[in-house]
Amino acid sequence: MAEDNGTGRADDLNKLVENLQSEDENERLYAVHDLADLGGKEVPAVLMSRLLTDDSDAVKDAIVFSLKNMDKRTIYDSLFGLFYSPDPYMRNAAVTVFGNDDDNGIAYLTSKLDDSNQEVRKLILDSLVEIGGEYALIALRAALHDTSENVKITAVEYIGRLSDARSLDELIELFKNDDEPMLRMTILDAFKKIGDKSVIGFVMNILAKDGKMTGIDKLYFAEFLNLVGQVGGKDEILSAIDAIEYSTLYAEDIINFIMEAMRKFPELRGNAGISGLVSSARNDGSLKEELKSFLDNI
Amino acid sequence: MKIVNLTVDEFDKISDMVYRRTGIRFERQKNYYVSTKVSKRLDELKLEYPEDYIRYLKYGDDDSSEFQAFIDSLTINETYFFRDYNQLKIFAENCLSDVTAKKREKNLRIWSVGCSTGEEPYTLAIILNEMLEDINLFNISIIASDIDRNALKAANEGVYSERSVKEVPEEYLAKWFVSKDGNYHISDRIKSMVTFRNLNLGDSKAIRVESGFDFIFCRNVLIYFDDISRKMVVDHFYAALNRGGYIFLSSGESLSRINPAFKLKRLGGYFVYTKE
Repeated sequence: MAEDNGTGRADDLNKLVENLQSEDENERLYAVHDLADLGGKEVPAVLMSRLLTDDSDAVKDAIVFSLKNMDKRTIYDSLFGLFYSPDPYMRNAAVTVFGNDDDNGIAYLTSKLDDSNQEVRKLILDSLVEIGGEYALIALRAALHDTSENVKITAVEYIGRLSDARSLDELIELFKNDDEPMLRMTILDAFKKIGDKSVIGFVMNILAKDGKMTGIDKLYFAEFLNLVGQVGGKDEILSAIDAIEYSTLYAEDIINFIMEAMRKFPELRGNAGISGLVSSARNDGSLKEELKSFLDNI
Repeated sequence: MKIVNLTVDEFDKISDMVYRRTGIRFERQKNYYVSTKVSKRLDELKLEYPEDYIRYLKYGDDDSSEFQAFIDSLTINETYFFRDYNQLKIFAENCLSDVTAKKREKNLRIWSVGCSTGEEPYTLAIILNEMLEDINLFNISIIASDIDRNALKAANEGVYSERSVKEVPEEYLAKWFVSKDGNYHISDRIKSMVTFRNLNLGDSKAIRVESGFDFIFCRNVLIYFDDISRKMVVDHFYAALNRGGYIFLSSGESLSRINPAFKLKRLGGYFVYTKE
């Protein structure tokens, strides 16, 4: 019986592999679904090989969907090869398939984090963040030390997205030691998700010449204000209100900050500093009407 | 009737059974709903415990008739004629002429998926009668399928309450229905245009029989499926639809993420999906 089943399965597999080469798009589409149903260690490689040559969006998408949902350890190398493809569809497909993998995928991808191509390293991070979990975070933390600023920025963004508070110290170190503006902006954004009010003082010490909020580098002012609004306590928020000089350029950030501050501390309604800022915004002729309408809620 | 409360284990066993055979996934939040339906079946079969029912479904239901009865009770059959009028207007005024103009042969095939008690396919038949000037020259086939046999029985009878016809324009109501005993009977002409079929969308072999459609209507059906079954079903719709054909989902449902090969087209301020 066992032999019959084995032969039957082999026949089914051969027939489906043949159907996968058919001229008829529908036949290929059904072959993909049937191969996924049939399962077995040969199937991922068969589908992978067809993915590289098929010209039908429907068939390719069905292959990617099927690979997502099966054990793909046998095709890790071919999948990884797609990261080098000039076709963005193929690169995204690899991210999607890896992104639905488990710890095996994380182990494989982590071993490739020293790839010489920085775009490939970034795609590895794109996949890791999709998998998520503690092991993915360990790899993302390792990428904070990458030689490429772009890869580092991506790692910071994903650590923030995964709300990994345990990376806070490493992000603080990075903020201190690397003054690349986009990287710092991204770290400030991550602090909003994983930081607490203690990061405000630390950031001020680095970004403000005199260590006071009034001295914050203008480049980072909007992002910093946003951070104070998100993680600051009442004292930090009051200090920020005192430090803000109204300007049309930052009007949206200032209004958002005030709204957030008042949501957290309703007793700030009527605060003189807030009233002054609201009044300046109301009198600002170049401010968009939709922004002004927000002021009615304050 | 005594209402039983399914334990998590019992619920999982039943929902897995339903999922494996139909592709329809009931999440645990639906425990109360499924418990009520199981209670009814227990009552009918004179069984006492859910475990008895699970055993019965597994080992005592040789012809699957009990499973079918259970599925019939689980499915929701709330629909009415000319539901989502604006979408039907696009079908009638834009898509229909687009497809018929491109076709060499005068034939039209339409599939109404999850047709329930028949309101949708009969609506489509009415629209075809109203919109096609030379309808008698067309070979028209409207296939209407559903998993619920009770619903299909009602669809075949074609008798509807006032509530079901509330959106039917008066002119059409007078023309295509016969009012009798406080109900509305669909006309024989419309009835003859629709073929009803009992079809389980989770049965990949059975659904592949259906193909070559110019239009597929699948409104308020995909919400019952999980990602894997939904992908399988939508890929079949892709295969079953002719090039240049259209597929209609309910508003708010998107195909782009399930099968990007369908192309989104804006017609009369409405988005529709087509196969190019």
